[in-house]
Amino acid sequence: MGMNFVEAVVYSFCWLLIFVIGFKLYKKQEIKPIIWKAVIVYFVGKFAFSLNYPIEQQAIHFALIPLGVIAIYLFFSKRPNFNTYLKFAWFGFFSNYLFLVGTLLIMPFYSFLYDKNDIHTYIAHSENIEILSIHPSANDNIAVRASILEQVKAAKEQPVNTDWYYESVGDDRVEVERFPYILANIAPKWGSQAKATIYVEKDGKGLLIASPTKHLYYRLDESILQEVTANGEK
Amino acid sequence: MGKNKFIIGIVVVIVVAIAGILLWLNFKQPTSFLSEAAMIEEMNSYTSSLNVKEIQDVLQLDEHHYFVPFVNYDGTKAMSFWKWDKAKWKLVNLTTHQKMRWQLDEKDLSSSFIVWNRSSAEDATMTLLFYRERNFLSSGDNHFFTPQVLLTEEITLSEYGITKVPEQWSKLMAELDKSAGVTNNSMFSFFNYNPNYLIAAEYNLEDFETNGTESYWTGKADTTLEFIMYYDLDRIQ
Repeated sequence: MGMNFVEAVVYSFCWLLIFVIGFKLYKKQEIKPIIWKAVIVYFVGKFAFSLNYPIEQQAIHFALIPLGVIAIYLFFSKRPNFNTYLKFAWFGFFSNYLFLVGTLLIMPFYSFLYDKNDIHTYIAHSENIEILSIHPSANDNIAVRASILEQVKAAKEQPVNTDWYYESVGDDRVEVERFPYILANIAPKWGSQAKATIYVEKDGKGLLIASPTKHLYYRLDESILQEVTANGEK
Repeated sequence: MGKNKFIIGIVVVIVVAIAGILLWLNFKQPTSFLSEAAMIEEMNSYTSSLNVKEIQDVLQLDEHHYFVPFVNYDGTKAMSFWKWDKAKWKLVNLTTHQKMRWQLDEKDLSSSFIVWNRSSAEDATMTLLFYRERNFLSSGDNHFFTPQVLLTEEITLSEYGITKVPEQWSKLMAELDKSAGVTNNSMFSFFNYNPNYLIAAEYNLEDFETNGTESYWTGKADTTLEFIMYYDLDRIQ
């Protein structure tokens, strides 16, 4: 899974900041360390035992025990210039908190740019769109209308109804599925990496957007599906 | 100081050598498949329960996997499974069961093959199912509804053979996975209510009548080789 736009920007900024601070730290030293050694020491120092918390779908790493710094202390404390390098090790450890702050910023920035509760975040491009039947009750001779993006603009949100479940099970079992199709290869808004399975209702006028954390249901005025003959023509 | 440098040098050489060997083991391209004699030797030494009378065919599933149906010493049909692993062709397992599902990539159901070697030479049909149960969940104001997925694909079983699950199903799995929570993370699992999909076959009494009762099978070696699950389609719908 690739990074979304906000993550890419935030993490690039974090690395840029680390480069700038690292460079200043280097300038401040009276006895200059060898640069490649200082860089390695930085990365070793960054290694830490951390507590991980999931917040929304984001993993927060809270660095606790500076394992890398301890290792450098144990193995190299008798080397000349040790104190200079130690600074870079600690810099590595504390830079974990910079990333922590960065991670905490991602969620609010993301919600500012993309609305995860909006159909348009999930359905933005329809170049390679395809409809897949997922149930025996589906009509196999159908295609998606070219006007789908236009139609989605007028979509109205309605509540997801758990009664749909009872409609399809029970004694008078109806052998139909309310959502017998899936829209495949729909691209979300640029940079959002928003993931969802998009189900289409049997009349073609309802869309159920199932993201990992929320399900959204929309109704349209017209069907997004059209019937085609077996040889693929309209 | 000179002594220190010497020790560091040796450590570096050892680390590079180990890394090189690991890379070689994991990324070496497969050589051409084993000769019949080499196969038979390895199969006969794998277990005393089986002894190869005749190799029927050698079928390639992909670059790294081969399926070899054979006749056992007592005339029963059997199957062997081969995989390119750690720079050599490895016998994954042997069985006298007549049908199995072989998932080449442990993490990807769409890499599944149905493989068989039947005692009957007459063609038979088998209905493969791609199934996920319908589900719903309410938590506070959040309502979730997961539609049922049910697809069937009829396959013809000749005496022995392989067939990959339909391309369309792989496409579907990729779409269904988009609503699955991130659960493979070992540190924690996110909230996930999505039922899993599965590949099975429609229940068919004949399948069970033809299965020998004293079949040879050890499931230990590879978790990606499994019996085909049977579902009663009338009870699903």
